[in-house]
Amino acid sequence: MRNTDNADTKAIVVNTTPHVRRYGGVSQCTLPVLAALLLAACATTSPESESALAQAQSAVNTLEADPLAAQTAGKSLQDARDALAAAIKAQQDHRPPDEVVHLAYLARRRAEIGEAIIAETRAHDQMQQAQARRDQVLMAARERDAAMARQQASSAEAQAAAAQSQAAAAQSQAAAARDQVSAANDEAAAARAQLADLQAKQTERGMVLTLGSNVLFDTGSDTLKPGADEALNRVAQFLQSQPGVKLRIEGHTDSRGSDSYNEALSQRRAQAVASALMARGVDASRLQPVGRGMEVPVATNDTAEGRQQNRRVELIFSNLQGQFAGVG
Amino acid sequence: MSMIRQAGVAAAAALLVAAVGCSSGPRPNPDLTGAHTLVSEAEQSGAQRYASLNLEAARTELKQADQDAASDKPVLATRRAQEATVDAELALARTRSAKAEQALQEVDSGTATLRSESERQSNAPPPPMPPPAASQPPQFQ
Repeated sequence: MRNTDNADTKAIVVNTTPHVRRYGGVSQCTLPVLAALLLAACATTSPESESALAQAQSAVNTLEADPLAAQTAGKSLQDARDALAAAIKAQQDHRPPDEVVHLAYLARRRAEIGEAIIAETRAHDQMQQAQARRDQVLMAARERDAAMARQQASSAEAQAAAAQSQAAAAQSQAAAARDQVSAANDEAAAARAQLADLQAKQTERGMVLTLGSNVLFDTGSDTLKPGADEALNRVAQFLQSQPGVKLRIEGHTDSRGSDSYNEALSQRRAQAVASALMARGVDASRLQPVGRGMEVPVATNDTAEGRQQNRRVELIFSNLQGQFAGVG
Repeated sequence: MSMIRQAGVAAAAALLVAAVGCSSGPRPNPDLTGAHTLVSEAEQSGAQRYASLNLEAARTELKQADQDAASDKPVLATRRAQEATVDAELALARTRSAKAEQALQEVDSGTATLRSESERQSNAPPPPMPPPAASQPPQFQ
């Protein structure tokens, strides 16, 4: 062993707390070693080796103080303690400063390795919790999304159901309307058929039944002849069967005589027909007797035949709702 | 043994040692080999990024160790090799812990993003409903 002893002694401060002192704090494991050498004469040590030992001691103290050191970095902790012990022993054995510095350096790094291992373990442990937290938030978000989607879905379902029942209602409405229309069409067809039976003709004014005046009246008279009965009976019967139908009764004459005479005669004749129908149970409100005089000839007044055709009574039937088509 | 004989044996031993030494160069140093391996491992682990100071120290020490071995200074070579080893180990350990902390950070920041995204969505008005079927051609037969 290289002997660099001299008479100088250096007190070694014994420090039982893990706190760092310039001349080296004492870790628990090296305490007995150091205590044994307390009174030993110590050779001059170099500032470099003192400083290196101090740093090594500090690093080991830090590692010792970490509560996770024993369970997480146990091997590193032991390696660091052993390395520090070797460094301190080297110093006490008066080994060259280079050697002490080297051993102290190894001890310091060993302790720092232990710290790094603890940090890695800590991060791994926290990772599980962090992932669990993240999964919680993710699940909550997904649950919320699912709830919203369910809500939207059921709302859409409700809308669809409402729309469906609307459509069904509209469909049955349409069907009912179609039925109504076809029923009305059937009724109108039946009425027209009835009128056709009466020899009424379909014109632009509606169904028109033309009765020759000579069938109904004597010349210049407004008294109905018995020959008119059959026709009037059948018209009355028709009107009873179709309560909505109204009747316009137009009296027409030929051109012989004055306007006013013919107008008055035709009016009285129309009225006579109306009265005859009322006598057969037809309500007056449904009848519109009007005298047209010679205004609307249907044939020429220059021939006897033509004049006979012009002398007529026209029965113009409304539709089933009591409406007349255009102006006669 | 006589003195001459001792000297002869010693000379022969020295020659043998020298022969072995001279023919294969400096004796292989297991600490040095191990240090090379570990420094290389640290480099591959990404220590350049996460623990560059420790890696640089290991490289410097390793280079010095090689030089010492080549100049036939085995004691110094061993010391430097041991220092390079411990610095490489430290670089590795710090790289692993840095990566673990980075992964943890990423999970936490992902959680924060999810949380704020979730809050934003639950405070926003609900997305518009599709128009009611009445305004579209009926699809129900």
